[in-house]
Amino acid sequence: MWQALRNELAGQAEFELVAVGLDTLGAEGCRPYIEAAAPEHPSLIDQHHQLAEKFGVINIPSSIWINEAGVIVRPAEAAPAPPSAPADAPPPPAGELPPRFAQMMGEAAKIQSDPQDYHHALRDWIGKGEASRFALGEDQVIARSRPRDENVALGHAHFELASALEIRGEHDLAISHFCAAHELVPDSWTFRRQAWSLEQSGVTGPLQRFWQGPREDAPEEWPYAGDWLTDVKKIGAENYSERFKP
Amino acid sequence: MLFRRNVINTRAFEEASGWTFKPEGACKGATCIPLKNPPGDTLDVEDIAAQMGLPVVKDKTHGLIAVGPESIGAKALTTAEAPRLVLPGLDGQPFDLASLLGKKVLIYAWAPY
Repeated sequence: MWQALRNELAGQAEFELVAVGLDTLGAEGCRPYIEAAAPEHPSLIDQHHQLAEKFGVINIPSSIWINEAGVIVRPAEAAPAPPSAPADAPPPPAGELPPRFAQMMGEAAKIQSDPQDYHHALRDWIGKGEASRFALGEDQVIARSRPRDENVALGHAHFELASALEIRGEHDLAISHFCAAHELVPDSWTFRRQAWSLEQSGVTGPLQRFWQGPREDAPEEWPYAGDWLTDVKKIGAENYSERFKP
Repeated sequence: MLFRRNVINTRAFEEASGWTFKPEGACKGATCIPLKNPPGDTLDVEDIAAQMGLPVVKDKTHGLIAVGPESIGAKALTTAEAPRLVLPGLDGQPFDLASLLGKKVLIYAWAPY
């Protein structure tokens, strides 16, 4: 989807798409998806979630727009797939899925985004550059970047340490720092989803890392305060992704 | 930022943090933090973090020191200038975002979970 858009836009202007996969598991976690997509644009691995610390990314998919001079003109925001993209393959009938997955898919179907508005803005910027009303000035870019007080900054340090411990095989030590990061940076879905995806789910196959909640056969072993299904229901799936703000 | 030693090369800290040490202090964009004890060729990570108001979390088991970002202005960004970003591709080769200067760039963040 994004590959086709990138090729189209790169034919109209000096433009490049840089895909960045955020995963503590590094290339091991991202490889199947990148190889399947076979991108012609840079496709990078962000094992330590530098996009969170440096750009304020809190959820995926997100984007950051940077102009020819290396200046951010739109800070991290939700990046819906192009509206012209072919529909994904239909999901398997709910009856074939464990009940948790069926519930998750039901909630995911309620997530709202603004692909038309977002991609209209993107094309406007590609065509008009700084004259586009969607290219924000420096003050607006800073003002629209994520809130970051001392607690949030401390939460980033805990997440960094948790990732480093996980990479070193210290899963149990990592959990307490992931928990601290979740508490201190409560608006970060990537911090939570990353930690949840590292737990044993009890299911196998490509959906294994999407379970993101207690095992059905050992729910008492779940080490986190929340899980994907519970947390999405708590805020309302319609609020999961931030809407496009011109 | 993650460090494995408390005393490191000052340049390494600058590259990891995006802050540059100047006579007026630690600077990023138009923001400068005055320092009581500016570093020389090397610095003590915990000391410089304390001077700059950066949070520190440590792990004794592996001797790891994690330093969090600044919270100046209560925003993730203190400048619109894109921070330095160098990340590997699947082949492990580093890619520097700065190599795309002269082009419009859309960074697309995704995750396999």
